[in-house]
Amino acid sequence: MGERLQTDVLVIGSGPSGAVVTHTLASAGVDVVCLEQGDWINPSDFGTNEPEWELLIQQQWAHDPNVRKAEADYPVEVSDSDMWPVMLNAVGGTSLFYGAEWVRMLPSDFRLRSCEGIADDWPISYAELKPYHDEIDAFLGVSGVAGDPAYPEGLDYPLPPHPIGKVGMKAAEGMNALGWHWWPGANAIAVDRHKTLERCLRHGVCEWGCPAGAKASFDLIYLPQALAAGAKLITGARVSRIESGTDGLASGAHWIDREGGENFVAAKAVVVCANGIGTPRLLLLSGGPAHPDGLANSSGLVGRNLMLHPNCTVTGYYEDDLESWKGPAGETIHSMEFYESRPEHSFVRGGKMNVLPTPGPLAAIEAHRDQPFDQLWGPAFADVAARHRSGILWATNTEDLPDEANRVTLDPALTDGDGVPAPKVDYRIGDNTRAILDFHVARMTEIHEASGATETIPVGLWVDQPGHLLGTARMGEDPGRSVVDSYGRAHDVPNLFVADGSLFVTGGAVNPTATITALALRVAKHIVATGAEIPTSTGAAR
Amino acid sequence: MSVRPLSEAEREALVAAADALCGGGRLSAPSATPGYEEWLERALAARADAFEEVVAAAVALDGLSLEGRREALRRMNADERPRFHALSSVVAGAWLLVPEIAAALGYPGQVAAPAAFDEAATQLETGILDPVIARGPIYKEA
Ligand SMILES: Cc1cc2nc3c(=O)[nH]c(=O)nc-3n(C[C@H](O)[C@H](O)[C@H](O)COP(=O)(O)OP(=O)(O)OC[C@H]3O[C@@H](n4cnc5c(N)ncnc54)[C@H](O)[C@@H]3O)c2cc1C
Repeated sequence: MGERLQTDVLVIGSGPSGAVVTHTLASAGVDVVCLEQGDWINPSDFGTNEPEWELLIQQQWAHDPNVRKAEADYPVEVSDSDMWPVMLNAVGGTSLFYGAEWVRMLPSDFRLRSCEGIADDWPISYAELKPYHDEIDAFLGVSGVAGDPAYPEGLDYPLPPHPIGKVGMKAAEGMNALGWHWWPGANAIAVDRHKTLERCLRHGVCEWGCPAGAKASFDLIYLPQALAAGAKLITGARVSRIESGTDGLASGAHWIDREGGENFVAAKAVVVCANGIGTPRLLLLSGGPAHPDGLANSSGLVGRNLMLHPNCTVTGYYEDDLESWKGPAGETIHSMEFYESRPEHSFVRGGKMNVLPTPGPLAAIEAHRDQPFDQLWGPAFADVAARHRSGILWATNTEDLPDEANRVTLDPALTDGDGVPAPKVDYRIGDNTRAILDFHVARMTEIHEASGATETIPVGLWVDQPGHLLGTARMGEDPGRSVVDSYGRAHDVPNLFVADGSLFVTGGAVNPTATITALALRVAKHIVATGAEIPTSTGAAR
Repeated sequence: MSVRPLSEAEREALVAAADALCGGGRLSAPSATPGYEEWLERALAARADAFEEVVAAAVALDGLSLEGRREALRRMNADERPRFHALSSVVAGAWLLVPEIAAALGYPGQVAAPAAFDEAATQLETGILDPVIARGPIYKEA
C-alpha cells in the first residue's frame, strides 16, 4: 500500500469543472485534494511552438487519445460508434485543446419538454444559472460584445472583443446579404493581460495549445488560484475506483501512481469531474455492496444518454487575402439563426454555426484530400497550399437529443496502462441529427456563396472531433429518471457529486464549457453552503 | 532527430516521392529546393510513429519514372489511404516547411500578431453589425 491521505473533499479530474470546484472549495477554506491522471504541460511545450506543428498535431499532439497514446491517456473503444470522442488528459484537462468559444445555452434549452414536448426539462433555468455564468466570466476575463439579440437582455462580457479579422468581416458580409443573425464571437481568450493569463498574440493555434498562455485553459487560470488558496493537486494519479461502504456512502478513492503503486485518499465527500466519458467509466468501475450495478446507478442511467454534438463544416476559399493564418481560433463570429425548432423544418431543434480561420498550408492540403488526385498533387500542389491565406471555416455544432442507446459502458477486454477497464462508446447518429447536419451543410454553403467564395468543401460529419462529452450522469428531480439532483448530488449516494458535462439533461447546441463551469460553480457553492449537513461514511477515516 | 539515420537510397526515394507529389508547379521541386532534406528529417521526426511506413512506401516507388511514381501514388491514394496519408503528409509537409517555399506561399508561420488596440472597434464601426441590431431580438421566450 502506497500513500494514504485524508481530506474533506476529494475532486477527481482537473479540467475546467474540477478546477472550478477545487478553487471554490479551497477559497472557502475547505480542505480539498484534486487527483489528476495527467501532468502539467507548459505553454512552451506545445507542438504549436514548432514550425512543423501541422505534422506534430497528426499524432504526438492529436486530439484523439487513441491516436496520441500518451502515458496519461486511456483508450476509448469506438468500434461501435459513429464518432470518436476526443479529450486531453492533463492538468487543466481538455481545455488545453479547446477553442475557448465561450457561449451560453439559450433559455429554451432548459425547457424542451415544457415548450416542445421533447426529451426532459432541466431542473434549473437559464435565469438560475446566469449569476454563476457571470461570476465565471468575470474570473476568466471572457471577451465579447454585449447585446447579442439571440439572448435575453443582460448578457455582457467583462473584456472587449477580439477583432473579427478579415475572415469574420467576409463571413459577416454573407450573413448580412442573407439577412441572418450573426454576432462577434465570445471567447475565453484574454484580449489583454488578465489575472494569470497573458495577452492574446493571435497565434491562431488555440485548439492545439496556446503558445502565449492567453487562452483560458484551466491549468493557467482557476487552478493556480486554487493552489494559492491551499488546495492540494496530485498529478499522475489515476483513480481506479471510488470506495463506498455498506452504508452506501463514498469514503474516498483508490489511485494508481506512475510507478504502478496503489494509493488511497479518504474523504468526507467526493466530486467527480472526469468528463462525460471518464465520469461514467469511474462510476461503473466503483460498484460496491450497496451499489451492485456501479456507484449511483440504481436508475441504470449512468453512461446512458451520451450526447456528442456532431459537427459539420464547409470550408470556403476566396479570391481575397483573408490572412486566415491569424487567430484567435476561437470563434470569430457565430450565428443562432437556425438554433431553434421551426415549423418549416423536417427536424426539431437545430445548430449553432460559427466561423474560424484556417491556419496552415498543410491544412489547405488536408481540406482538399478528397479532390481528384491531379487537382491536388503534382503541379497543382503549390497553388492549393497557397489557398491557406484565403480560407474561412464555417462549422456547425448540432443538437443531438438524448437517446438511452447512446452510451458509455466498460469494455470487457480493453484496459488502460494500469490494467483498469477502458470505456466503450456506443453512439449512433439519429435521423433528426442527420437532418440537422445536412440542413446546415446546405446553409453554410449558401453563406459562402453569399460572401463570394470561389470554392467550397463540405464535410458532412467530423468523425473525430466530438470534444463535447455530455449527458452520462444526468440531473433531475426524479431518481428513477436521473442520476444526480440539480446540485450534482447523486440520488443514491448523498456525499457523492458530479460536476462535469455528464450532468446535461439535453445538450443544447452551444459549445458546452461555459455551461459546464457555471454548473460546477453551482455544485461547489452548494457543497460549501451545506457541508456540515453532508452525511459522512463511517468508512471515512476521520 | 529521426528514429534512425536514413540510408542514401531511402533518402533519394523520399525526395523522389516528394518531387512526384509537389513538383512540376510554379515553384522549384523538392529535389531542387535547397534545405529540403534537413526539413525532411524534421518532418520524419514529427511523425516518428509512421517513420518505417513512410520510408517503405517511398522505397516501393524505386526505379519508376516521375510519371510512373505519380501513377503509383495515384493508386496508393485510392487503395491505401492511411499509407498515402502518412507518406504525403511527411514528404510534402517537409517541403512546405522550407522557409523559401513557405514565403513563396505567403505563409508567415503561426507567428505572434498582436492586435492594434482599436482594431476590433474599427471593424465594428464600419456598421457591419447594424442590420443585425436593426432586426431586433430573435431569442425565444421559454
Ligand atoms: C479540440 C477541442 C475543441 C474544443 N473547443 C471548445 C470550445 O471552443 N468551447 C467549449 O465550450 N468547449 C470546447 N471543447 C470542449 C471542452 O474542452 C470540454 O467541454 C471541457 O474541457 C470539459 O471540461 P471537464 O472538466 O468536464 O473535462 P476535461 O477537460 O476533459 O477534464 C477531465 C479531466 O479528468 C481527468 N481524469 C479522467 N479520469 C480520471 C481518473 N480516472 N483519474 C484521474 N483523473 C482523471 C482527465 O485526465 C482530465 O484532465 C473542445 C474540445 C476539444 C477536444
